[in-house]
Amino acid sequence: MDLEVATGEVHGFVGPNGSGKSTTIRILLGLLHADAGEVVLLGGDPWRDTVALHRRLAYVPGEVTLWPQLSGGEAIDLLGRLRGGFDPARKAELLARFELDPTKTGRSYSKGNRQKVALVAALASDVELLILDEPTSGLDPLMESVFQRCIEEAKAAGRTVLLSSHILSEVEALCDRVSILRQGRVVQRGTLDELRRVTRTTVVATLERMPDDLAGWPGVHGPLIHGSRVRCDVETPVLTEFMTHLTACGIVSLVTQPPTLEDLFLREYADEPS
Amino acid sequence: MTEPLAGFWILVRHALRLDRVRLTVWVLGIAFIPVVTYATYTSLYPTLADRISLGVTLQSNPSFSLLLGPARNLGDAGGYTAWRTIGICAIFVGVMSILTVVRHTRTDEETGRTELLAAGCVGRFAFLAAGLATAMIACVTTGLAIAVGLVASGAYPVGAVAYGLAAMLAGAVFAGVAAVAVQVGSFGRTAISLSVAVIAIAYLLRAWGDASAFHWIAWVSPLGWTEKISAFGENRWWTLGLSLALTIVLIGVAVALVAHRDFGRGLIAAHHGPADARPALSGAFGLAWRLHRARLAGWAIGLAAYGALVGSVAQSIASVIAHSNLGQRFLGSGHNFVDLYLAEIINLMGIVATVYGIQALLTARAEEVEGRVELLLSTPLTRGRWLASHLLFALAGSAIVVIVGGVGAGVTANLDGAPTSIGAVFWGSVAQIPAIWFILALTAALFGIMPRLSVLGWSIIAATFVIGFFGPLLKLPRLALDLSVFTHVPHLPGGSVDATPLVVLGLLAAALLIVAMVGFRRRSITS
Repeated sequence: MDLEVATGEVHGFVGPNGSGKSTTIRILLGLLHADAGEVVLLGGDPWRDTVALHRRLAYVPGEVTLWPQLSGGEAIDLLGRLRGGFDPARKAELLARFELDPTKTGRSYSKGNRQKVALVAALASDVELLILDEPTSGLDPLMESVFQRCIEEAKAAGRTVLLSSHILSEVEALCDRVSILRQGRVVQRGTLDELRRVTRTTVVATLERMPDDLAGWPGVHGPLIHGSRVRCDVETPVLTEFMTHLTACGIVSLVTQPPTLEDLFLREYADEPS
Repeated sequence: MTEPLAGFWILVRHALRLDRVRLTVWVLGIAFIPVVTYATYTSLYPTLADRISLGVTLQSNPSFSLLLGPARNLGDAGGYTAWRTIGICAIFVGVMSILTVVRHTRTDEETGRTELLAAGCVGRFAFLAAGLATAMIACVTTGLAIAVGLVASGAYPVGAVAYGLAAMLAGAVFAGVAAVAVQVGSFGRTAISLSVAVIAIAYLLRAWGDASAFHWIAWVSPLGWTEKISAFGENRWWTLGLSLALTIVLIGVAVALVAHRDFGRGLIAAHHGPADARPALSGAFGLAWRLHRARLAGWAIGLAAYGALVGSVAQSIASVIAHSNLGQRFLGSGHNFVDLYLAEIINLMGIVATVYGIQALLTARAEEVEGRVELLLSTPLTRGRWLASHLLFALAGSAIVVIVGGVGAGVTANLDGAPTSIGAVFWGSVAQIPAIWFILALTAALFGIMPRLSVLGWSIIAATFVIGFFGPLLKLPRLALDLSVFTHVPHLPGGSVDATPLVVLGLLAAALLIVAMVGFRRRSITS
């Protein structure tokens, strides 16, 4: 596992269920003992320097459970006080934005609302690093957009965010860099642009004259020809060359689609035996 | 969903599979009580004269009526066993039923497991029916185990069957009570509290009716019916009809309530809490106070009340023991029998306080398993401080519980004019603390090193109870008796004081607590 998160960035941590995202996060938090390898978090060892490091971070677990007898507001205050205090005005603002009723008791909240409690507690505290493990898996689309705005604000305030997720649109919207995890190993990592470079762009074009050797061009995959229309996937390094060829054939219309994270993800896992 | 009971058998099989160990322990544990009592009768009362004198002294004594119900047929091992044990057995079967019904209905609904299944092909009433059926199967098995065990020990089959059926139907009634309670309360804990309160009221009504001039009051209580069957005596079979009828009525009420409530809700609405935490709710200890205070208060009040009850009859029971052949033979004359009686009560309080302590300690394990610890330990809170917060309530709480119970007994005994002092029962209770703490520290060490085994704390206290109360009767070898730490604490008031075992137990407890702390700081958090 080779995971590096730079200060001040929002880092996406992407992988299917069971790929080791939560385990990695638990090691980063000093909850699990790493069997081997070196873990450095904010310049310290998460197992040894636990308390000093925890003063500087806030965590939202993937599966939030709250105390049955405590209200949501009490849980937020408790966590905030443990993290060394927080601004009550900030708490009130976040409660309003997430439309969370803080007076319900822990056992009567739904999954999404329990997540909101942990999110409000984490976002209200003044820390350098936010570690969020699939924080929006129970939120509706409206709350998802509230969450995205909060993360953008956190980033603007100079905080670092490690965001584990498999909601790819969210990662695409928020993250500066992404690490893709598979079976406990980081298999791809970089900025979205860098990741796109190793993948393919979908090109749909209507041409005046159809080139006859299209299938044989290097770096061009799965051409589908329908009359004067062609659809194919083109590897990023040969894109310029490919476009030159197309131009020579006379372009009537052209649609190109950059690879989405979805495509990256699917390509990375397509050959995985299930 | 056209069939209201669709999926019933699948749910029952699932529940029985989940509970196979738990229910087996309950059933065998409950059946053990009457069977062992029966087996030890002959060695306690070997001659006819012993048995007649036992009957004469106890039958007219209101104190024994209060605690156990009126004594009848004490000249016979079966009659003695029924009098001595049927009340406690009925309560245990009732608790087993309540926990089983609640676990498979409301608790599942609360945690969302039911929802997962309800989306499949499961009928509206299937969950309640399956929870009840599981409890009923456990009750029937208990009744059978008791009857078979008694017959195998040589008891009259008719009496043994009457005893088994009475215990079984007591369980059925409380399964019915729990079935209603889970519709009323929105949460498993609420339902358990409500049902246990019903048991407590039933016990008090039974005790009041039997000890007072208003005998009819005992007939209002399901626990009264269990006793009134008079197993090995008159064998009044028709009292079983009362239990059966009440069970049917309760189940009918529960079914009607299921039809009228929404999923996930009860008749008592979930109440709201404050939007902001008070200043006291901060840090590990503030949280631990919130998590432990209600249970600690409940146990302290319960044991104080029980202590007051058994203390109020100390004088009268002591005089019975003093004049009985048994007392003379086993204890010799010249004792302060009030002190002997109170020392026994305090010893029992010590074991009960340990049960509280283990429950409190295992709260820490529940916090870990349910994932809340992860959230707490992601803050600057240290592991040591978090564990210490729960240890404090387990250790100090159990000390409070045993002292409150012991002093409660001393106060009412004193008010009754018994020759004992409150100071003596106080120190007698304090002397139990090292033994209590030793068992708690052992459980804590398990939690620190091998968390999955921390439930073994329950086995330790169960073994201690069996050794302490049945060991001498069963004439277990000295080595076996020594396995219980409570064997080593001085029996006070009245006994001789030897500080050595207390110091040794205290030091061992301290060492085990260190093991717990170091182990917990080094291990991974599991969930």
